[in-house]
Order: sequence, then structure tokens, then C-alpha cells
Amino acid sequence: MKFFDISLIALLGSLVIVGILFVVFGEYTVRRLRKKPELKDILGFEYVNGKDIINVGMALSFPRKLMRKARQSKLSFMFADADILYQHTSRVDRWLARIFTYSYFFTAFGLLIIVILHNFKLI
Amino acid sequence: MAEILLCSQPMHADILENQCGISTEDIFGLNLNHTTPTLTPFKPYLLGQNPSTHDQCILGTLGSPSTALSLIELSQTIGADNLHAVAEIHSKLHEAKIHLDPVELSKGMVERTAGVIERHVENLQEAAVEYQKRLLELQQAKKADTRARALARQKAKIAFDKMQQHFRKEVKLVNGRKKVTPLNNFKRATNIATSSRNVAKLEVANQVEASKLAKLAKGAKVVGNVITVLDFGERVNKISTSYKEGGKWEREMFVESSSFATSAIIGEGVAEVGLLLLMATPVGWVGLIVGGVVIAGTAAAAAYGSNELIHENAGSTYDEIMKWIGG
Repeated sequence: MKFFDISLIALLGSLVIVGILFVVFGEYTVRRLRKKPELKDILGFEYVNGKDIINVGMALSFPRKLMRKARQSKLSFMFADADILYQHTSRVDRWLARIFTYSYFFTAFGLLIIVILHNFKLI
Repeated sequence: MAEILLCSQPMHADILENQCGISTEDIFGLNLNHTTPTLTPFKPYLLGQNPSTHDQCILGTLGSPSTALSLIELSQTIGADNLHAVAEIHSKLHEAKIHLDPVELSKGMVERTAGVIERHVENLQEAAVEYQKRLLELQQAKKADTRARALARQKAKIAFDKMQQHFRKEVKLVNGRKKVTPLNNFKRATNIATSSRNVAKLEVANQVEASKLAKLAKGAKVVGNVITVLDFGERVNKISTSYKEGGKWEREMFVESSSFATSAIIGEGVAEVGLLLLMATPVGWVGLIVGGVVIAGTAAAAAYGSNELIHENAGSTYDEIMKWIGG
């Protein structure tokens, strides 16, 4: 097997795991948050169903300074409010969010990198 | 006036009732009997409270499977209300001994036909033919990339405007002859052309559109979903075609599902990080718009490129896995 095949299989496998994590995090944490009326407007713009799961995941796992800056920007409605979310989530929620978000972006950019490398005939 | 209902796949009456608000009691089969719970595809059904024998005649006319098949395809392409107008034009052309076939049209035969039309019949018909051709092109372009799609849409719009002008003239001429449903809705026609729904009926189209608009106004949530669903539907279609033809459908499924998931996650991931980086830097509105366009473009290109690549390579990867498992 070529290196490309192995890395593609590995990343597609982690894509499946990301899918499972997405559902688990969505059902366990975000569904609870959605039910709270005071949090309705701070989960970020949901232009695709389930987009708020990613919004919340990002807010809970990326540096708070960065998320605060994003919330103060002109398109702040695109992002979830990290400061308020921290008050409504437990430690388990946050770790679940971090595991989900980092594996999500790892998979996305991993796939992107092998696609680019393969396009330039490097692997 | 008879209301005819056609569907392109087996459809349970309950689903029809839930989605379109059509009660089972209002659906009649060929012999004016109430139908079985599941509607057969490519078979016309009559809608209404008390169908008359006249309605039955109409139903009988459309009864043959091939008629129903092309009817449902046509009404999905050009919209049920336009269908009547096109049918009328078609019969006019037929009188003028010009045979017009939508498939032929889409194959580029129109140039020759159009020349004949010019001499024989009025501008409206030519414009309508053009419009029909453009819509068929638009339906074809569904599979192409965004730019080709936008171009096809633009062309369809121009053809529509032209036809609209001629149509107004025509309507003025034959005013009062009968109540005409104007070809007044470009958006609806294009919507129908781009979204292949499996039930053809004018009222349904309206309801779906109304609820679409309502949803759109609420949070624009539905836009992304519709696109995803359409894309996904096409992929599922490929798999089932492969299954029907006795091909390696498991392989096809692996290819389609991995390229779909990959392009989705890459596109989303790139957009997300790009947006976050953009937000974290102090830029003004102009920068924001430019940056947004760049991000959207990058995300789309990344998603498109990865889809292509995985599509090309997932098959061999699947073979490798199978070889590996098989030892």
C-alpha cells in the first residue's frame, strides 16, 4: 500500500469517529444547552442544521481570548459566546467539546493536506 | 378542471397527507376507486372530492405509463403551470408540421428547428423553445460546477424575460379566449428545474415554496440543508443505479460516502478557521467582504478539489482494503 492509501484510510476512519463524536456531543451537551431559553441567542448562527454543535465546540475549546475577539467583531452572530457557555457547562462537557473540536479540525485539515500533497504529486 | 397527481417513486398515502395535506379520500385511481395506501409511480391519480366521468376521460388519456413518465419529467423540469403552455405551443407547432422533442432540443437540434420556426410561427414559440432549452440545460448543469450553473441560470433568466415579452403580446391578442395561467414565475421554474422532487403537482409546488420561504425567513437554515440533500440524493442515486445494474455497489457506496464526507468536512473546516482568523484581525467592512469571498472561495475549492480527488482514488483504496482483508 502506498503512503497515500494508508493515510487516506486512517483519516477516513477518524472521519467516522468524528461523526460519532459529533452526535454524542450534540446529544449530550448541545441539546441540553438548546433547551435553555436564555442561551437561545448565543449558540451562534445555525445556517445548516447542527451548525450550532460546531459553534459550541469551538467556543469551548479554542482560546477564550480568540473567541472573545470573534464575538466582538462585526459578524459576532456567527460564533457562540464562550463566556456564557462556560457558566452553563460542566468539566465533562468542555472536555467532550475539546476532543470533538480538535479531532474535527485535525481530520479536516489532515484530509486537506493529503489532498493538496497528492495534487502536487508529492505523495 | 381535473387535478392530476403524479409521482416518480412509490409513495405512501400517509406521507402525502403529512407533507402535502392531501387526504387519501381525495385520491382516485383509474376506475374512480379509492386507491391502495401506496401510490404506484408513473401512474396518474385524480385529485378532488367528486370526480366526474369527464375527469375520468382525462385520466384515461394520460394513463399509459410512457405518457405519465414523460409528463412527470417535463413537469419537474419546467413546472406544471408552464407545462400547459408548452403543450399548447407544441400542438401549434405540430399543426405547422414541426416536430419538437425536448430530448432533441437539449441535444442542440434547436438551431435547425429554430430556423424553421422563424418562418412558420410566431416569436413566442421560439422564445418558449429557447426557454425550455435553457431550463433543460439548467437541469443538466446541476451536475456541473458552480460557475457553469450560474451561467446556465443567467441564460435561462434572459430567455425567460424574452419569452415573457412575447407572451404578454400573445395574451393581449387572445385576451378573453380563456383564463391563462401566465408563465409568470421564473423562480419557481428554476427551482423545479434544480430540485428534482418526486411528486408533480402545481399546488404542491406552491406549498413547498411557501414553507421554504417561511423557513428561509426564519433563519436561512434550510439553504445549506437543501444543497446537501440534493448532493446526497444524487450520490445515493449513483449507488442504486450501480446496484440495479449488478455492479459493485458496495465499492460505489464507499467512493460516494467517503468523497461526500471528506468534501463536507474540509469545506466546513476551512470556512470555520478562515472566518475565525478573519474575525480575530481588525478589518473594516470592505476587508470583511473581501476576506469572506476569499474564504468562501477557498472552502469551496478545497471541498470541490477533495471531492474530485477522493472520488478518483477511493475506489483503488477500497480495492486495497479488500485485498488486505482477503489476505
